[in-house]
Amino acid sequence: MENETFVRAIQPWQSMEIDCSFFTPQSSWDPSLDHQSYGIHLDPPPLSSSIVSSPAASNSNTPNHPLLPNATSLYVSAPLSSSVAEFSADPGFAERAARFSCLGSRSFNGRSSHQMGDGVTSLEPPYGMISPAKIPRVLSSPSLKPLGARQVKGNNHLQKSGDRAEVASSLEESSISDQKDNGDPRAAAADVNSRKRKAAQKGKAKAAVDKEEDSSPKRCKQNRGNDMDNAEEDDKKVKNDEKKAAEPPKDYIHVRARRGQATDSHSLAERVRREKISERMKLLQDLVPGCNKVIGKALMLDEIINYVQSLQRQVEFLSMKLASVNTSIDFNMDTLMSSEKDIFQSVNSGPNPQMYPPLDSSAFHGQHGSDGTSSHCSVDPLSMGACRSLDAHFPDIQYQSFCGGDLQTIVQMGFVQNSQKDNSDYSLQPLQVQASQLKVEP
Amino acid sequence: MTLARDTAMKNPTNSLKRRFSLKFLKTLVRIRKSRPPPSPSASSSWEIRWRAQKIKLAAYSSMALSVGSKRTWSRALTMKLRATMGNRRWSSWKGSKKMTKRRIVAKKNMEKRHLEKDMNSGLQQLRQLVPGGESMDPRSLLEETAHFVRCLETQVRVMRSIVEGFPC
Repeated sequence: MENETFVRAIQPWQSMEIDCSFFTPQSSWDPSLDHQSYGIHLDPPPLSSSIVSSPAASNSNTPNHPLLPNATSLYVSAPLSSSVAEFSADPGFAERAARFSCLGSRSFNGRSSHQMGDGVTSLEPPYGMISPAKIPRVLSSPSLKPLGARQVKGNNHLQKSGDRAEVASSLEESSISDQKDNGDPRAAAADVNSRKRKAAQKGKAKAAVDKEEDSSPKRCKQNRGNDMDNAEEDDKKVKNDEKKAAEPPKDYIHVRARRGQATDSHSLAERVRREKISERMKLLQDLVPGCNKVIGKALMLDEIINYVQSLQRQVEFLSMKLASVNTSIDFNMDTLMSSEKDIFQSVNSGPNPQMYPPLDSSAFHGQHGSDGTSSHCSVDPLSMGACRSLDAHFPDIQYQSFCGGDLQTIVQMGFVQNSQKDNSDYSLQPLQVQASQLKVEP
Repeated sequence: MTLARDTAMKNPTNSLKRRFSLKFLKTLVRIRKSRPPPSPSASSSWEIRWRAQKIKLAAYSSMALSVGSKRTWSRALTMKLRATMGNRRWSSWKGSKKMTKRRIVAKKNMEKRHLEKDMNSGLQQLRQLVPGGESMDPRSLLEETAHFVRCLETQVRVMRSIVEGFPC
């Protein structure tokens, strides 16, 4: 009965893969999980938002998401920003209209491919990267309106494609299905935008020059850097980041409306909220395995829910297993706990590796004589069991990273036991060597 | 909120594993030493189930205690566990007042926002899964979920390592 429940519990979430991920090198992972770092192991820094690398991430130069591919994308986007600056001074409306249409459709493509809160989809950079089919439709006169809007709102630095979606919705009704944003504020903002656009077309030239300056009376948000995860958006974001860095900090949270978006306070607040949510969703995406392939907030949420449920089921299943083990084994935990405590203290105080063997030997001295081969009679099964599982994977560095100090000690004890498992005399020598190895790694 | 703080708040560190392991092992010792209450069935499977229940509670409580009060879910879980254990000093009524207010505010905010139905239902499910999630706005709910997921992973890892150590 118990085995069946155990099997049933395991299957739902491929827990074996997770299990393997704990103890095996990364290369042997399930491919669907290979790009995920659970925070379990010492990934190479570029990949992980893991526990080990989190300090590194916080200290890193990228002021945003811990995923280091962003850094490369930042550098990639640098040359584009210069082209953006040149573009802003370009008086050719047709050229700008064409580019805008490209940007518009590009932004939609970007959004359709990146559902997870592309709050910071930048529109300027990806020139000519979009389907040309969309350009003719947009090249009509309405294209100037969004252009004017962009010029005007350059002061406000409208960047989000949500508002642009409103613009494009009037032009093309196609690719907005992936827009999960609010419907009503968008319509209201569209009216606002059209009014502003008409009024502002006169001041286009000036606006183009003033775009870099933060002269908008509206409150502008400064923190956009967190959402930079798309290479095509990065150059715009880099420019924004530079501008934001140049501006003096204000007292309250500034929300900067991006180009082509409504500057209505409600929609601004909505956008801020949406971006924060998407930020969190991205963090979750890193945690949950296999979420990179899922696009869409709803699907992501389903994945997350499944994952949490599977983890809870695993805990239940493991507790059942532990219970069965507990009842079938009679052992004495006191010595283990006392020795572990000593070892904990010694670990915290920067221990000498040579301390471990004497402790271990004292802890297990009484158990050597009892039974050397079978481990589960009178020796301490907890340490034994933990050790046996751990020492099989001990050479694995990643395992060590999540061992923590306590399991580390268990591992050391396990080596003592492991050598005894073959009913041979254990030697302190290998234990000391391994202990020193353990010390080196963290 | 800077991202550094985000990651720091989001990621349980190795010390969490250490704390959790220690607490969990202590509780396991206690459970092992304890005996189930006498019951009419007195079958080994029932005893195992009883023990499993206690071990599960021990795992969650030790995890919540290791996290401390830093996280909403840990606080909620601690209160819930203490309530189930009958400790009236930490009963949930104290926190529920605050939670009611926050719940009302959260509901108002939710009504204002035009979330997709899928997302709403997903969030609702998440609220039921994550302890203390009923009265949180979506953003903090997701944050709590992230931390909760990490702690659950830690829990599973430690328990699995303990279990696998035992010869079957």
